[in-house]
Amino acid sequence: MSENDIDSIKNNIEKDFNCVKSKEDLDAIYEKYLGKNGEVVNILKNLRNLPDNEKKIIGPKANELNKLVRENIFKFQNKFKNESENFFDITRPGKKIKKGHIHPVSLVSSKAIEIFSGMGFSVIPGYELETEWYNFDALNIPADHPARDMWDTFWIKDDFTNKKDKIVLRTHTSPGQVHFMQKNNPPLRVIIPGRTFRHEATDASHEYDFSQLEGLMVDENISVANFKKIITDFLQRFSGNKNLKIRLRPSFFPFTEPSFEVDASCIRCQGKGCSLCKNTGWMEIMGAGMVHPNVFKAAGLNPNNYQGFAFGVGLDRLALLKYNIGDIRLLKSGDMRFLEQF
Amino acid sequence: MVFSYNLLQTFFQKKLPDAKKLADLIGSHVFEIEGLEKKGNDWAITIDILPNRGDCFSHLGLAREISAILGYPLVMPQIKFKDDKKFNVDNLLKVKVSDKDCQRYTVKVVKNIKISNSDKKIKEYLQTCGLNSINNVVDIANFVMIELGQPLHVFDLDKIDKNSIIIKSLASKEKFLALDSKEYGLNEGDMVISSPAKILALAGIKGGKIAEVDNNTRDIAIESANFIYSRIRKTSNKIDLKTDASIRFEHKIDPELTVLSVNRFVSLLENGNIAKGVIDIYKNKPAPKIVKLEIEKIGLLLGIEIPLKNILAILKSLGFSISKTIKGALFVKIPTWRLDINLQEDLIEEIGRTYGYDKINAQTPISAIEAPRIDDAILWADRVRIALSGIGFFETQNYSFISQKNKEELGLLDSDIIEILNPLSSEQQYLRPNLLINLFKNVKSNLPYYSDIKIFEIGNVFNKDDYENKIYDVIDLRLSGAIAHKVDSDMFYEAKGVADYLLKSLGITDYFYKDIDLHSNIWKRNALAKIEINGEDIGYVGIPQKTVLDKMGIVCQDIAIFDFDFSKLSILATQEYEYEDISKYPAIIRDISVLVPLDTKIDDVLQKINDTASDLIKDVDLFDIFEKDGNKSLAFHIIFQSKEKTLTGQEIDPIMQKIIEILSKNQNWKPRI
Repeated sequence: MSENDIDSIKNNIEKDFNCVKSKEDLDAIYEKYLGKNGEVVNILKNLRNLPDNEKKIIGPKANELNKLVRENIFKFQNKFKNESENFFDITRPGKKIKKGHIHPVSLVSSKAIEIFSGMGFSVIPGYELETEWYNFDALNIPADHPARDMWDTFWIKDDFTNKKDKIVLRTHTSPGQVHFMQKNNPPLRVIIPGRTFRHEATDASHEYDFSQLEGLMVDENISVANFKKIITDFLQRFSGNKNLKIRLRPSFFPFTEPSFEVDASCIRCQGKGCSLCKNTGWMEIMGAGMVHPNVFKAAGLNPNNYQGFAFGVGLDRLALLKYNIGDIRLLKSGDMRFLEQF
Repeated sequence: MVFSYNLLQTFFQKKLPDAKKLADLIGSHVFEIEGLEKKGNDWAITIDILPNRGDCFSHLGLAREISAILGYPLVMPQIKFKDDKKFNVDNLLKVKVSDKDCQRYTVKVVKNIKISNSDKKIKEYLQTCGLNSINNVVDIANFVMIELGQPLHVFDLDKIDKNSIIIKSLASKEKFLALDSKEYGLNEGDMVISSPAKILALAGIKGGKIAEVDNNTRDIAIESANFIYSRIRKTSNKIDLKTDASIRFEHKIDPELTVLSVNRFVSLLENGNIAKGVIDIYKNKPAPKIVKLEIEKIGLLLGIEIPLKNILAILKSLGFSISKTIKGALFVKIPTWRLDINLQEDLIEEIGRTYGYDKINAQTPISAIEAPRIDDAILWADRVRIALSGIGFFETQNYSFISQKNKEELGLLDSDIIEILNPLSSEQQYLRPNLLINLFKNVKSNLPYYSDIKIFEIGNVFNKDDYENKIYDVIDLRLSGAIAHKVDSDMFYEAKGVADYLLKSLGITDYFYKDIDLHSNIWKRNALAKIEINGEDIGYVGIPQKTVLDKMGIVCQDIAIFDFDFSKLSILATQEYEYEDISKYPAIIRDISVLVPLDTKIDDVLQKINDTASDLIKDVDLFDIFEKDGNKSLAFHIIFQSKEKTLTGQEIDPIMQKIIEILSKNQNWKPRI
């Protein structure tokens, strides 16, 4: 036993007391230094075996250690006395940490992107402003056709392009199909999420500025049966309901043939009938169909070589359904009392 | 369109399923049902007729579909009448078609008619379908229209000048007084039905007052015509008048209907002498349409093998016939009323929907695997949402528009912002040139409920002056945000801190803040920093002008804003950055404080410290700043570290000495260790 050893024990004692947090810690320290086999106790026990000259130096130092430990224990005991032994209130509120919030349409969009990219679909944004050609003509919607009435359109006052082709706020994400097919060769798998615009009055279920997600899958033999599989998978994953079913009803879109409306079994009642699905058990989810040969032609692909499906789903609508939001206008209200719920 | 269940029943001998069941069948095989309502002893079924199915704006058309779905044979309405040989139509009326877009013009004449109330049955059908009863003649015309789909128009023959009709396009602007007593301004090129002197009717859209049938009418001419859809649509859109007739013509109807319909009309009349013969001008009768249908393609497109006998049965039930079969292809003759069928895909749809889409089983596609590419901006937008929401920001999504008022208040220029030609209201007159204006609106509307506001948006903005040669040039993806507290002098630095956090979250480190004297309608001068990377602007941090906040109605709030070019950010974020080895040797921290005049920029001091160019200085950190006697004291930690060895005081002292020397060169700066 040397002076150095004593110093290092002293250091340890100080360190140990720096870390004391509970009465248990204190007991452990007592045991370590002053217990039956405690380090300080052992030094004191061994004192009588030491030569006198050493005894004179080590003795007082060992007593100092003894004092140091006892004083500290006394000090901490007083401190812990006021704290009830076993009482720890876990019901006290945690420290407030301010959380931000992601917009519900972004959440829905991210989820859709995650699911589709997992199935090998690329993701592109498309353009919110479009030429009349991309928004209509290329999609087999000629100017004089009544089908144009299906899309109430915002037209842009064009005093800056000096071009003949008129400019519109895209009425759907479908022009993205044409852009994508012009730049890529099949096999094609892509989704196009983004804002779309319709010139119509708003109410609880209509909005003039809303988000859609376009989908396109083209190869040599992509069929309606394949569409059913991809969309069922998507909706099941999206809703978290493995038993979700879909049905196709005939419809008409100039850019698909055949065309259908896709209904999904009601996410709330799972097909039994409730107020959300107006007791039909089904909810209208999206429009879809097999890409029209004229669209392939407009995009520069040979319709004899390729076929595939396209669909368009309203992201706002998915958000309304997923979170049970009653009024679509809340989405663009900027109201933090609404936003903080997501 | 509204359909009468009872009228549909007249097309079948077999009893139809009850109205609800019938509606369900129609819903799953053809059209969406919008409503079903009991009306007396009839049912009104409201159906959303798809715009390509002009043939189904009639009970006949829908009955054909029902016949195909149920397999019930279709019974055509009875046509039975007797011409009165005393009168011959050719002696009573002359017709000339001089506009080629009048595909067919058919007229019959009835003399000595007695205008009265119509038959009870007809009245009931009209009522179910939501049409008012007027008199026997008009009611029968309307009835034939809803029954067969052919709009008819009845003229008072005696009111037609010189008993002569010409179908022509207008050579110049002209006024037209319609049956509803409204005057319409017609344009050059509009197609009209005219007597030598006056316009009798606006072709395919509306009859005129001049030859209106009234209670004294004795002789009538019944027009049953077919016009090219686009001409009717054009005029009807221009004068903003949609009628039962114009809607049908716009959607294309079978030119073969004209004679059938006019005959049906006269056979429903209860009195009058039907003049012998019919005027029927039909110059360019289209050749029968044949579409080649490859049998293999049916299964390929639908993803189900349908037996050939089912395919043939379906086609037959819908009125298609097979003209020949060659090498796995059917040559299908299209009935005249199916003007929507042009391609084999159209036929495959007919087969698929009639067979039942529910019979097609989901099938995993077999297609080459390729790693999907996700647009950088879309990918990074998600990361930014997570990063910013993590530090308390709310994401908003605002409208892509700003109002006329916003434009005027902020002094935005027509040469910059893009105007909507047909806005819903002046609230949405322009496309947003930035995200900030709408974020200010969000701040204002949330102030009553929140004292601390942190919001951001990622979205497209539109600026005309970005136009080069493509319309897409004017679209710009931005990320902007606003922070608002009740009176806080450090707002700018909070926003700058957010910008730092954001850039670091994206892995971007080599950026600089620069002073900029920007002429702006929004940013306050002298409180604006431009963020640069490699000499390129990527965004701004600053304080909005007080006048802007006043105009936006935001009072007594301190606000800071940031605004990034998100396309550029996402490109920079995507660039690779490399891991740098962590030094094995400890760092040594020395502090230095510098007393400088109040208007000294911290960055200038930092630059000088870095000018020592010692590669042992790893970082310089401002940790304290306070004002004292008209000066400010800046305190920095200077962190030294080597990758090769443990540094000693002797190695660092000369560097500190050098720092002091450099800083002392500026006489107004007083460094102290």
